[in-house]
Amino acid sequence: MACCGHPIRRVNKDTPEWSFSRTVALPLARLTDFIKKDNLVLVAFVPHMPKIPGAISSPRGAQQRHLLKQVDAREVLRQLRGQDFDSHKILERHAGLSSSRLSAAVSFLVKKGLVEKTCEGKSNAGRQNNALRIHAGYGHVIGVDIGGSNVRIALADMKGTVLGKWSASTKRTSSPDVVVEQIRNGVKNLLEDASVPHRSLLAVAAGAPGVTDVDAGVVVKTSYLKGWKDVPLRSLLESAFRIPVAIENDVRMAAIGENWMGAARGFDDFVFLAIGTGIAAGVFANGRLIHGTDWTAGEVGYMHVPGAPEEAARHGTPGSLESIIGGEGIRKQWLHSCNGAGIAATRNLTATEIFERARSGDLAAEVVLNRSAKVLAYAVYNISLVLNCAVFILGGGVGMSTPLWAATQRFLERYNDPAQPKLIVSSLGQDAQLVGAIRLALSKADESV
Amino acid sequence: MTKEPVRIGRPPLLRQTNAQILLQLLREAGPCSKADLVRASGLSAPTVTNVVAHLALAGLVEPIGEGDSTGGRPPDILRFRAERGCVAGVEIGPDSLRFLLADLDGREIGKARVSLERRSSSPPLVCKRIVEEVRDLLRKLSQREEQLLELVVGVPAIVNVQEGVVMELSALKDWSNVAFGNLLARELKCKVTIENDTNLAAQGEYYRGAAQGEKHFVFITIGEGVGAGIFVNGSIYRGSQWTAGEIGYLRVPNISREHPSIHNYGKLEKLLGAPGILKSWQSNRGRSRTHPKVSCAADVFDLAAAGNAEAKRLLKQRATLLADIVLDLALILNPSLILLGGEVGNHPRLLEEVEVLLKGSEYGIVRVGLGALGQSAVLWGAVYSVLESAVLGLLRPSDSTSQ
Repeated sequence: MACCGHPIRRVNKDTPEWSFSRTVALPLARLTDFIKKDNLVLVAFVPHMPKIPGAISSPRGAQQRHLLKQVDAREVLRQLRGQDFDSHKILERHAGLSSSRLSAAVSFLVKKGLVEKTCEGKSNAGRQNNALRIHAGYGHVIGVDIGGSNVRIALADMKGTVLGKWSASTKRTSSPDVVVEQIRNGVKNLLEDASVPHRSLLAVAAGAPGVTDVDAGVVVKTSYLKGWKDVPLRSLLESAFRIPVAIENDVRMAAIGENWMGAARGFDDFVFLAIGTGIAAGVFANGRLIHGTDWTAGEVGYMHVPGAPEEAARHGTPGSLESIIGGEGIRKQWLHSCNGAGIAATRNLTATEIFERARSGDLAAEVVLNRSAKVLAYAVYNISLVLNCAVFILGGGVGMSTPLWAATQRFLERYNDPAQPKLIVSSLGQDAQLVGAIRLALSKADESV
Repeated sequence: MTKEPVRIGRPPLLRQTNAQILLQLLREAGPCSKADLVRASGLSAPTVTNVVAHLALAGLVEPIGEGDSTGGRPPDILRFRAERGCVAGVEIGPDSLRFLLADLDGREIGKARVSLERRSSSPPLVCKRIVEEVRDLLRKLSQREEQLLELVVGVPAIVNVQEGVVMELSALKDWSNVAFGNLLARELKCKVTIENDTNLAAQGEYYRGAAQGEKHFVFITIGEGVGAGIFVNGSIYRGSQWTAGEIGYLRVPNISREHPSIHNYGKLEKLLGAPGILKSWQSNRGRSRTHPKVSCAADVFDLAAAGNAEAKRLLKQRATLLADIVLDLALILNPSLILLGGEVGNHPRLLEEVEVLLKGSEYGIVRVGLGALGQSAVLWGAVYSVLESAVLGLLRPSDSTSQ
């Protein structure tokens, strides 16, 4: 090989492909050319090859133009998902496209019926501007939130307006097949009630309460639903509905929801902390979710912070953090603190009720609240240091408690950090997951354009 | 933090993308003919001819003679001209400046180290030293100053990378909110980037060291101070105010319990860093006279390896702190790898101890390893982080003229 001036890289014997570690894969054709030419064994000298930062794999040749139009169209849709636009000019600036490319993309979308032009736009003396917005009636999407105790479904139009909601209990039978059947029923009911034909459905997105492999479409594991291990939820739903499906972890789904319509609107970097029975974080960095290597980024329930127990965590036991600020942990502390003070504990109080009691002057409850708030403040502080993230949205049954929010904020202020993280209570509450699911389903529908 | 403008699908960008594809082929596969490029890239022959002409105009490729004929005219063999320009990395340390010059393939062509005295470490003086030394290096390598395309400076401080501003640097005098990028760019006519040193070290490990191919990893450096460089989705994550990875201030359990004298226990790095380890060792040494003398923190760990009980206790204590940091990072980010580096962090005994401590946990599982580049991680990261943009910078001017 080297004699004809073509040093090439070593080729793996087993897989007849180029061993380029990144980005550019060469077609087999070139390889066979070499073999035909020389009949030499293909082990070429490989000098030190630099990895080239930021190299992109790119569409090639004639395909490019077609692909570009699609890319443009998606960018236009992405912008329109945020707001309606009064004119081309403004959209042009937002989307970063040239006038001609934008026109091409817009007319493509208008022809498809996904975007509509109306004459409501402001006219400044000359030609009237066309306002641009997504055509709500182009199609419909389904958002699903699978939880430990129930499954909730929402039907929405292309603008994300919810047309109907439905829910069913998953407490008794929660095997994947049963849940999918429940979802299928729910969707059928919703479509009938809203008199929307099935063919109008464009995409489904479902959130699951566990480790979710978004790429493979698999719920890897969850402790909230019995018998769920490596469930191919995406393909189950795809074969049930025969339309594109996206799945995501429920906490990240809620983060998407808050980012779209809730307390995290307009933030590219924020953490959504869901505190209920357990505690988990959905992290947005540079406008994108962090999933991690094994899809478990943000499983912060096992973090070590001062004031939380430090034994190594075992399966089946709550994490160190969870035992202090999770719903169950809080109830245990409350009982303990009541017994210690010799007061008959009012049983069956929820964490939120205990915190409310603290506000009305119950000392035993105040001890519990302060301990929880202190540990939560440490956790927030540590996460904000690592990510340099200034905004935390508190959600989940326990996380929505106002006394907890106030006490935690007070502790954070004591740490005297120059960049103090700001705590905000979720504005979507229980609906965050469902809203996020609708948003993800809309993205999925936009993708198929 | 403002975002880069969205750049989608304009013709110059297309040409640039094509140029990038061909350049990458030439760089990875070595010299080859136009026909090879056509086959390998999937671009059409006229496009390749166009782009190659464009690249030749920018001085990035050149013919190196004729290859073997397969019947017709023998093809011209093209090669990437890595010597077309060079990039420089500079590391500002507490007592020295270190330099590395590399060609466009990322191969070292020169290096230097000059010591830095504290009284002459104000920004203008450091800037002057850097400019002098870089010019000197270029002269020695008989490179013209225009050939230096990019300069990257690693600083042990929080840096606003976009504006080239060093926000706070406590190790040197008068460094607070210094627009160091502008200062240097005024003297040297190349593009200047200022970056946090740990972030550069992480990039060094990514492009050339122990983290190659890892899209999500964290590089923890423990030396004078403690910091982390975080890779998310294959690029460095800097946070919303440039301070992501400032783990020196983390609050982990064992500080408060075992060191009640330090009330300000945000200063994790005071304990974990080299000075903290030495201080603990000296103070224990005062009590018992049998303690051997040490000159640096790594010596203490060496003693632990040799069986010294006091050193072992100290090592265990530090490893516990580090294990908590590793666990927290693993839980928040779920990286595939956490690398330890720096004078203290690079010690194999520390790694062993941390691994033992982490073994018990069934959550936040992560591979922990040592950085492969040691002292030169920052410089390599500096050089590699701008290789691509240096090449693109050469293509851009001719792009605008050909429009």
